Amino acid sequence: MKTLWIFGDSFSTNFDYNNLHDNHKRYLEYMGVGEIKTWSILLAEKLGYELKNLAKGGDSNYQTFQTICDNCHEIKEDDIVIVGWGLITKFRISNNNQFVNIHPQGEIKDYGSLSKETIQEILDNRLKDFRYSGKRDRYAEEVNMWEKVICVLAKNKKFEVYFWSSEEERLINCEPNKYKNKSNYLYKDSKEPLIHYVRKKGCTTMEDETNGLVSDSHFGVGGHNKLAEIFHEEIINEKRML
Amino acid sequence: MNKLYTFGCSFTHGFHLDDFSDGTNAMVTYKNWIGGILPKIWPEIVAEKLGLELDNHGWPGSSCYKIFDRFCKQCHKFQKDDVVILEWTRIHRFRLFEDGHFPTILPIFNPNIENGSQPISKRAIMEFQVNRTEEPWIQEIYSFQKIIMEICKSIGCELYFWSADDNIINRESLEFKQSIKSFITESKEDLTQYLRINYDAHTIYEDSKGIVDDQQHYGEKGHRVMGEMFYNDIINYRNNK
Repeated sequence: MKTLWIFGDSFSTNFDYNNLHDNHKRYLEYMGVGEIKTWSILLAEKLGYELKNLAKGGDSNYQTFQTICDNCHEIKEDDIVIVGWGLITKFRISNNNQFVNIHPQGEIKDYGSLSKETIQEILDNRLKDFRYSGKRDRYAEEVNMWEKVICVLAKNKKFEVYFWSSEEERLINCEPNKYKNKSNYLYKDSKEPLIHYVRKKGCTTMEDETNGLVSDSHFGVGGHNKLAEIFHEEIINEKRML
Repeated sequence: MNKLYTFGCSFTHGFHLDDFSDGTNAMVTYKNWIGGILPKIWPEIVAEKLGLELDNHGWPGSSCYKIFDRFCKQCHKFQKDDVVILEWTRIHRFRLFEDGHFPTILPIFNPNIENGSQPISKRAIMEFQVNRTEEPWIQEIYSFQKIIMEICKSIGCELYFWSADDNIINRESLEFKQSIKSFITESKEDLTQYLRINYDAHTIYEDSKGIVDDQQHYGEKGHRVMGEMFYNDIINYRNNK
């Protein structure tokens, strides 16, 4: 059976029922269900593929790319790979010999010999407003390089790969159409990050679906259903064009 | 004609003759000392022995990230039966945005760090470079290796690794080294230093009998030793297929 591979962050991951996030717990309670089908489960069903979802909430793009590298030997001909990039500002440090993903909106604190001042300096460096500086966005280029190598691998191993960006303005959507059209991007016509774009197409968040009770911009049941439809349509259209 | 692609830092790039702002590029001095004609560098020696056209993407001052970037940029050109040699550099090196560029942040003990501004404070660089001595950073490089190996396997090119860092590859088991086809598997330290100490791979300083002050980069003898040893390892790996 062909496999649908999912890599990315919280916008790609399934609910972790063994360790439910508070918002997920409250959302499930509100909806009166024990579990929900996220877009990746629904998409795999529509495609008739087995699902391997290796996305993880909070992962930086570095972590996402490392997960791809670590698993790329398992990807087979005719499999489909979907990579969801997150915020460029997220980066990693080592703490007690384990990677920790640093989120710009997270708590900035000391990690062993790495002070919070240093973490803030690195975050500031990654947060510079490139859009108006007229300078090349080197952090976005770094991700573009990873896309290149993944595309070469996909071409050689004959699997399909698609990229999208959930909430990052500096990736994909800001690129000129000429660049976007020759790349394997989902929802190419969007000029804004996916979470804004697909909401206009009817993807509802947990917040929308609970009338603001669960303050969370991640998708709810309706959002996941709609996103699966959108991605399915995009993939089928891409296949037709091949 | 098939190609030899090489990736790495200055140890792979060879002689870099750009003028430095302070006018003390030791490689220019070495060129003058040796009589104006630079010796062959190890990638040229290996390419010649293997009968391949050389495409060298080594660049001075690269971090492992820049080396990997260059691999990403070039790998669509690889053909079946090409040979790829990738050198990893010192793990401390990393990159930060600075005025539209992505400069390598060199180790804090490198005298070049005192020249010009840095995108973050010296204290922050030092803290982050200490952090980079931890194991996950090495594992990140090994993850890059996995996709590099998969790319080369999918195309049908030969791939070899080596490292100018004490910890990347060199401190690993023989089994690990053989599985990734690394060069000079007996080395337990930065390969450039190992060959210098054990095989008389002379640096520019040693070649010039102390006249030209570059104690890291190889001169004529260093490149010759490295080129011959890498070539021998390639032949051994081929024979032990």
